[in-house]
Amino acid sequence: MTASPKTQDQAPTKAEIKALMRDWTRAGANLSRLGSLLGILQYAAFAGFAACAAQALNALITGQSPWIALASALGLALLRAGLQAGEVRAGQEAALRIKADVRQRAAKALIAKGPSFAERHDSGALSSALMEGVEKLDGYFGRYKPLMPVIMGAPIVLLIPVFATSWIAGLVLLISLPLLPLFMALVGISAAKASKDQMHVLQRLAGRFQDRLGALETLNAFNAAAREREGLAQGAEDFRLRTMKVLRLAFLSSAILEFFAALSVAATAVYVGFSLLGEWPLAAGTGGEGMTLAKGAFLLIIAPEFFMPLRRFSAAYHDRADAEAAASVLYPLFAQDEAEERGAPHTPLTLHTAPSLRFHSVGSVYSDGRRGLDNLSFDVPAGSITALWGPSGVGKSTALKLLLGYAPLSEGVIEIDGQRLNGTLVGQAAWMGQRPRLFHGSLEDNIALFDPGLNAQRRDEAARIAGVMDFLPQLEAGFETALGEQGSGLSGGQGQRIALARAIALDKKLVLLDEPTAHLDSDSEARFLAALKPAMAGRTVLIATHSQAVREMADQVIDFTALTHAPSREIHG
Amino acid sequence: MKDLWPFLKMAHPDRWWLRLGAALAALTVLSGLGLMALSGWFITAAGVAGLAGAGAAFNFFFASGGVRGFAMGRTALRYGERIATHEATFRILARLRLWVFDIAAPLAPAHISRLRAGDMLSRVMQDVDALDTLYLRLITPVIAASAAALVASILLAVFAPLALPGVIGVFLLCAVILPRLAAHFGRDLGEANVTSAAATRAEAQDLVAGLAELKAYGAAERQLARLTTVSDQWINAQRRMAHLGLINAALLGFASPLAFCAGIALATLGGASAPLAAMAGFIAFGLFETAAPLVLAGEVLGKTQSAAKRLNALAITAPAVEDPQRPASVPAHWDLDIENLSLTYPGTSLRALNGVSLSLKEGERVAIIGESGSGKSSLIKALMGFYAPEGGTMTLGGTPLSALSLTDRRDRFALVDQRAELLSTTVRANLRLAKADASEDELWQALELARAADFVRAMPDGLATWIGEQGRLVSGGQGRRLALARAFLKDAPILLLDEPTEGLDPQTEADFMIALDQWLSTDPRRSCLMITHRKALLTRAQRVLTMKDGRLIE
Repeated sequence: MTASPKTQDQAPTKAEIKALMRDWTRAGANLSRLGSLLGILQYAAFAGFAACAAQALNALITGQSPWIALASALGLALLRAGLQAGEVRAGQEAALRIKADVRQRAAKALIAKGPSFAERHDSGALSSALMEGVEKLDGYFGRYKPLMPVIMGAPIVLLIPVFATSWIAGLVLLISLPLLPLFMALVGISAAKASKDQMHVLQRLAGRFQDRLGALETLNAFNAAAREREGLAQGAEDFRLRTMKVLRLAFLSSAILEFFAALSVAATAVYVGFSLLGEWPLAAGTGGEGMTLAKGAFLLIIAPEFFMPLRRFSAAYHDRADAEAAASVLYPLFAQDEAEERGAPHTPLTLHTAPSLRFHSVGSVYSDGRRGLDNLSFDVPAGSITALWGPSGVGKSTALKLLLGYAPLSEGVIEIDGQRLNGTLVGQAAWMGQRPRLFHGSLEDNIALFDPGLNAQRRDEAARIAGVMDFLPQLEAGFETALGEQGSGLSGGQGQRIALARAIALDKKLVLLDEPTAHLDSDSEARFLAALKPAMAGRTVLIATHSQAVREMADQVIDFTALTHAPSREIHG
Repeated sequence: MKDLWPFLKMAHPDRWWLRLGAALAALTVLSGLGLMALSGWFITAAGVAGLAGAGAAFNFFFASGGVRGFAMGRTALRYGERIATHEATFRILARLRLWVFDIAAPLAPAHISRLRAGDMLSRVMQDVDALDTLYLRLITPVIAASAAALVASILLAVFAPLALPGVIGVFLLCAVILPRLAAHFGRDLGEANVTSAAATRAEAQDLVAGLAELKAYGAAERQLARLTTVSDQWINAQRRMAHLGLINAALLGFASPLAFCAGIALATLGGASAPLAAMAGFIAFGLFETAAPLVLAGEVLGKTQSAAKRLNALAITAPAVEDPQRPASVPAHWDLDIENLSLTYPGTSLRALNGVSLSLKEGERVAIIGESGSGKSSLIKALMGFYAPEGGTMTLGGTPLSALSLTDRRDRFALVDQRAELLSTTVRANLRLAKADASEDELWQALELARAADFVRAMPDGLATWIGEQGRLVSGGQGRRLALARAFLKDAPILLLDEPTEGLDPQTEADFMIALDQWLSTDPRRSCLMITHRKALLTRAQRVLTMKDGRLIE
């Protein structure tokens, strides 16, 4: 076995996650900055509102007319509401663009990495990475990130007029400010630890519930639903206790924040009140003419707002952790891969006629160390039908996958039409795997694979040979029948026939079929094979099979049991 | 609201947590209101007293003490409120999950088809989670806001009567009309959001699971384009949602200073003193703290309602086969007789079974062959009571199957089908599905019989090894043998096999059949009905019947 380089299955480091998220930011960087700017400006507008409102109150007790001050306050409030809305919207827009961009890039990366990558990762986990994983970036890019500059900028914008009004009140706020993040960090750290510790337990509990709901038919067959319910009840109780444990800490952290905010607002209020009453020896703290109601009310209106950015930060605290978790799920897709997959061929190869193939001492070792093939040699004449025969696990599927680059070519040489194969035959071969996929779309889409260029005659001919026509009349919408959700009412055999029609309809000169008759009864199989043979004229066909009938139909049989010693592990697919 | 009613009733056992949460929420809001009103009055009054040079006579201890009390009290109350409401919600959600399991269990598989189970079930789970908004974000804020509005109205009526209609008017506009508008527009947007999210998921699944095909045929770029289209639609739906939230937030953001100014202006016009006019303004300010959660609630109300609607619909679905009123006792004999049985699946027009008659005597082995879709598996589903037949009879030892309780009926049969479904848990727990109190010896005995003992012994934790999606994966052949061991353990009179060796290679298939022979021979009364198209299995049958278009041909 060759020394394996770092595979992308290893958990990414913190720095790698950070770099990845920084890279993603680019799609919405300007919007994010705009959001931050509007976010700081809205606090400036608020300071203006506070000053005008305080002026109005002052006018009331001094007997002046309060109307101009009130009207200005209202105008500034309107401006602030607008800026606030703009801040939120810019953040959201940044997040939307980043999500669209990340999903697109992840999908492209997945295509580039190919099926061998998809096989190593659970397919459910990959599609949920594209869905939930990308969605979880929303909070971080929409709220958390634009908020960071606001946390620094807003207090400065507010402190300047506060200091100009009263340096004592300014000092009270300034001192309380750095204490808060300290306390919050302490609580936050323990909350993060608690939530991390419980995370996989929570996932397991949620997964268990899904699993049991999905297996209800089997549970009913064994009269076991009631018994499983007890276990689920226990799990749900556990889930609640652990969730509450995490939440209590999170609530405690925001309570501490609120406590200090309330404390400094109360201190400001008392200071203002005493100064107004002339009971405060340091009235000089407010400069020239001492404390007035205009100054005092201004300080009191502004004080609670001073802590607002931090409170918003504590509400967005989990966004970062969520996004980091999502980024580590998405990381394998974005990681630079060692050249395990022979991606885009160096010389694009187009097959215009049925090719001949030669496997020369070919071996294949998967990146997890599994050996798929060892020292395999055989020839396939152009235009022939070749059966690859042997029990499951000897590497028949691997031999087919090698041609498409879905399995690594570790040793030996594959020649096509006498030329050494450098790239892969992706896009040049019709391929049907053991568990063919039915796509969301019409039956016709499933045969043409969304290629609008396929003509109806070819389609009908392929459908006839594959046996689709046998059940097509039973479907109300015929070729327009909507498939998906793994077939919607079609049997496994019917799904396989559609996949066969796909392989026949698309005019590829090389056809690779993996166990095409596994779901067919012997009558259907015989009919299928009889129709297949003439349809395959002018194409080179490789069929992996352990069916005797296929073996008899083939032009030549490559018996894998005789060619290579079977690998010790059972291989799926 | 009708849709939400059952879920409010379901909260009954935890009503005290909910009430405590709502009471604490109301008190939190009231202390906020008190803090605002008192501070506004206090500093203005202090300003007036200071100007008059009467500062020494002013009772500032009462006022400043009150301000501090309200401020600290609010912090403590809010912490308590959040604990109580979340405690209530998670208790109720835990119960809801089990309730969903209870109503879903009898519906499988007739109403929860395996083909669409995954999508449907994740939908159900999301629906349950969506209901937390009902308790956390709907009930509690409404109670808190009502309490605040009531107290604010009383204060205003006493101290600044003219400000009352202005302040409360603006508040009602924001707290009642705005959430309703938000709910109205939010519903359509929410629907569009759900639909486009589902479409995106479908295309993403196709891309991931169908990647090998797509790439081979050069269709991957086309699939990427399809995914991008629906993903953009989804992002657009989210964008429209964001616009709605934005309009609401901007209106609210402006309404609260508006009420502040209106409060001061109206109170002054009504002849209130300066401190009381300031108090009226600050009361209006404090009151508006309660309006924002209501608008948010309005935005999500549609989602909560449609979740409730779907769950209600699931709850009233009747199972395909229900227990008889007075179940008959279990028959002593095991002869199975099927007479003229016909079955049509719900939602289809074609008969899956069309007058099937069959007898399976004690100790007999019968095989049924036929093309895919001919109705072979339907026969088993009818026997198990998964679907109700349209006509005909099924009797066991002379007792109609429909007269037995579902539990007794399903205990008569041990089923191994082509899926051989294993739960994501330990090997031991998977086997004990068939017999909850099976001893270790019994488990190993069944595994030996099913030719599965060797590989289970080789597993890292033996019987305690986790298998299935969240654990170690077993191969198709191993899974089939574990399922067979499980069926043996059930020790039922009749063994039902549905394509049990599908996809197995000849060697594994041969092992499987030896295991089968051995087990059947341990009690000569045991019978076996197998559905297959494998020649090797047919040699083990005493009779072979052919199924075609829902009919049996000898």
